[in-house]
Amino acid sequence: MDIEAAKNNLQKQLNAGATSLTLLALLHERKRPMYGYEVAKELEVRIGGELPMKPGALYPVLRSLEKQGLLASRTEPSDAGPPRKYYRVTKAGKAVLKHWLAAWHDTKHFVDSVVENRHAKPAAGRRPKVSRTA
Amino acid sequence: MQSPQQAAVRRYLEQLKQALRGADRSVRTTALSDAAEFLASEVGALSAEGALSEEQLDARFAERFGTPTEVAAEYLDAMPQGDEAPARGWWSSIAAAFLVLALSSGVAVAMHREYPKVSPFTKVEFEKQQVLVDYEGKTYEWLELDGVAVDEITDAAKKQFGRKWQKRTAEDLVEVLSGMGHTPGPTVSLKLRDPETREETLVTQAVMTEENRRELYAERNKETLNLLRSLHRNSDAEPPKLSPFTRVEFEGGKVLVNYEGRTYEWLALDGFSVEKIAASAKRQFGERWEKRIAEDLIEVLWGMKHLPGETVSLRLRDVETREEKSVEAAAMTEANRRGIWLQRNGDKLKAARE
Repeated sequence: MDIEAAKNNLQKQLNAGATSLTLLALLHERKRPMYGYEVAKELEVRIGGELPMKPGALYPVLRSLEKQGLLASRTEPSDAGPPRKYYRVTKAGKAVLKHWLAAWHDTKHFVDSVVENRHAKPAAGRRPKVSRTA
Repeated sequence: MQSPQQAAVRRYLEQLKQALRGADRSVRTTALSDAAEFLASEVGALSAEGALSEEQLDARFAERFGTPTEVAAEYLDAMPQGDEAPARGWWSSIAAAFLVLALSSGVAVAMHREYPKVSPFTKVEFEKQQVLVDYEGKTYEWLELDGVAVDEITDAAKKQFGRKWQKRTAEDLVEVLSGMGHTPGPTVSLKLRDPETREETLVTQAVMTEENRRELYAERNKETLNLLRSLHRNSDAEPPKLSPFTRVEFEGGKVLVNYEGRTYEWLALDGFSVEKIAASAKRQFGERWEKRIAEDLIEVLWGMKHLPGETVSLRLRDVETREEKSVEAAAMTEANRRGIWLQRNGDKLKAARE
């Protein structure tokens, strides 16, 4: 059993959805377009340290969100070198973000209930959408 | 001469390109472009940390952005093969390079205004309260232009362009002067001071040329140009085989070309004199310089750090009437270049067939 591989595999799976959600939420909250480096720096400040993923993993997610129509971008000149791609959340992105946040809370509650053994009650009006199989 | 940071960026991009070998071109271009953007910002942040060795820079980039292998894997995951737009043709890449260059250098707006891109100087630098310029191969302190003090010119540039005032004063002098209500003519008067002897010189008719402005632009923007070239080298594409001419011949120090059915002496392309193009081709290709100018014009121009567009401007002299002619937008076509190649290599081709 390759423990390291199993550990990385879970981290990768967790990062996959969490990164999309985090980026969409951050850009929505900031209400102004941000470029990749700026996004990475902002996330580092928020968590007070190193990100669970490298910034090199954030950029393709930004591209992917743009391709899905959840982000839009414009390119602007930069004194630092190549032009920067500034991303903002689209209307569709805002709508999807609400659903994603709901799904995140449900999933978080489910995981916490089982793994952390907290037995917290689901938020009012919302039930975990994870079904149990016999 | 590239800085250690610039060299480290290039190394990183080269390794990323290698890691993405076999991926769709659009994935490679996207990944390289994103990496270049991030690393340029990181280089800016590094400037406050003092000098780092090559190894430290390489390690820093891998640590901050991810190793090239890790980053390549992320792009391949997020952008599945065959899921992207078809690879762009070379011309659209070059057009994109122009857009990128224009945007990155803040001249996009200026491009839409019809201010001539000319200058009497080949270099402009700002040092404290002085503006140092290179005029006819010598460095001077610039004091006046057409009787207007340099302080007035720089103040006007600050008002017009804010923090970009140095760039615009250097690269878009005609626009700055026009904004002051003083549109310069083809020549200007200059008051200059030798920084060593403090002797003042009055030049009554300094010629404003595109060539000067191109030289100072290339010097001031060399880092951006280097990055762009690095990105384009990383795109794996070959310079396209195109030409505005259907025939090119070298005769007694002149270059004779056929353009739209007439024979002309070729004087300049996109503001570069033919002498300058020939000198560069000799440096790049040695004895084969004539062949390369005729058959690989784009490659020659790339070697001069010039990315030509789908059309080029030409200055020609009719060999019969001796009249000079300017062509604003001569199309660069494969058919033209094929004609040149056949004309120059027809005999060899025929011999090979026989």
